[in-house]
Amino acid sequence: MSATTVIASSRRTGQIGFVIAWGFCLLFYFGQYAIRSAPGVMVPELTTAFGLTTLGVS
Amino acid sequence: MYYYTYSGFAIVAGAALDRFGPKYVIPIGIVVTAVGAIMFGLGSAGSAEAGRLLQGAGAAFAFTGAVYLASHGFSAAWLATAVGFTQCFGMLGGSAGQFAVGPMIHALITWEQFWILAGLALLAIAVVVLVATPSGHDAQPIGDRSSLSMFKPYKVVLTNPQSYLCGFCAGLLFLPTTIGDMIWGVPFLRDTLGISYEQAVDRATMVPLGWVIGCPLLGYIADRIGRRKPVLIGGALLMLAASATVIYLPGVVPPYVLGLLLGIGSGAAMIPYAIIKEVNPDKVKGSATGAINFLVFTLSAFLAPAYGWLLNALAGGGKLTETVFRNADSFGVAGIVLAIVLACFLCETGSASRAAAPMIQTAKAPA
Repeated sequence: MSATTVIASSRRTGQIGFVIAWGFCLLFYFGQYAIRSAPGVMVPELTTAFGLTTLGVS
Repeated sequence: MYYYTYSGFAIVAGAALDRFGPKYVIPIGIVVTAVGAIMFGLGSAGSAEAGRLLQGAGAAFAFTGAVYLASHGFSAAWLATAVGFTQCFGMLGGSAGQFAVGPMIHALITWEQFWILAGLALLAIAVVVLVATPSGHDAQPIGDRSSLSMFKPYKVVLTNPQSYLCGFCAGLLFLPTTIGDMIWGVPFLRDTLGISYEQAVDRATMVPLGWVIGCPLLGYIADRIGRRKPVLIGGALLMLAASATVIYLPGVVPPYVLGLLLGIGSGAAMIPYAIIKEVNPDKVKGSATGAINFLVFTLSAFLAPAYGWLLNALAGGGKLTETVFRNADSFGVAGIVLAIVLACFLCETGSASRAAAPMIQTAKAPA
């Protein structure tokens, strides 16, 4: 339980790599926020399709 | 719905990043979100609800993952800027979800097609992130393979009182936007100013727009001067002034300006996200972000219905009048004041203070 062997960290080799990956992850964050707020603009469509209030899926 | 799985998985995402590194964890989160989006577009109520839960679970990996990558890619001197820039993209996405998607599903494609296309786009992003992310993770003990041990970093984060100060301070500064503006902004503006629905929507969207400017700007200032607390407190004071003017002195300042200023000041809410990484050890970076995201979202999830209840109670079952809104909003203003008080008890972790006091992580008071 208290093993102290440590995996060598490879973070130093990839500073630029992490920055590039961060850039692509920003796209994910952008898209994720977009689909979080998207149901708000399709309330009439959703209520017709599901026959319920969007409270359930908001 | 969405927020329940989001809060829970914020914890899982942080721990998984610390334990397994970002290379597989973030793409898995993206795939879960993508599957959730596609299920939402299948058109049945059941699959939409399940899809929404999956979206919340996967989405929790986006911010936590981006901040994890940023804190490995950028030097500590640029952390607050990177965190601010990350949040700026989220806010842009949030407004794109309304500005662009609205016209799109009324002219170009059906709403079902939108969700399926969004899911496919996310799957493409998952592949790109998988290829681009360096493998490897921070040094940690091996030999303990039980899945519970993955949550051990939270013991470090959650026994540190500074973590809670960061969480509640950021959470309180989010409320004027998440509850005040995004839920009640439009009815408030219509009822107190008597303006049209469209104009109220336009004015309410000034606040997220202000975030887009405020997050990177305040982060940049905090990094440049090497201090966190003055920027955090200054931003909160700007929020206080802007929201108090909106509530108590309507019509004094030209419209749109106050909403924008409120949003810019709200960029201060991201500063505790940088501080919580700096008051906790390096090896729990992912979990620190998970913890603050959990605290912020839980606070919003509890206080959103509480605020609705308060409005109803003040109205006494009657109509929501100007006075009702004004009295209820006083609690929001009090929340900003409380956030400023909490901020005073935070450690100063900016680079300028670190130079002066190298032991800042254990110091009780800022130098």
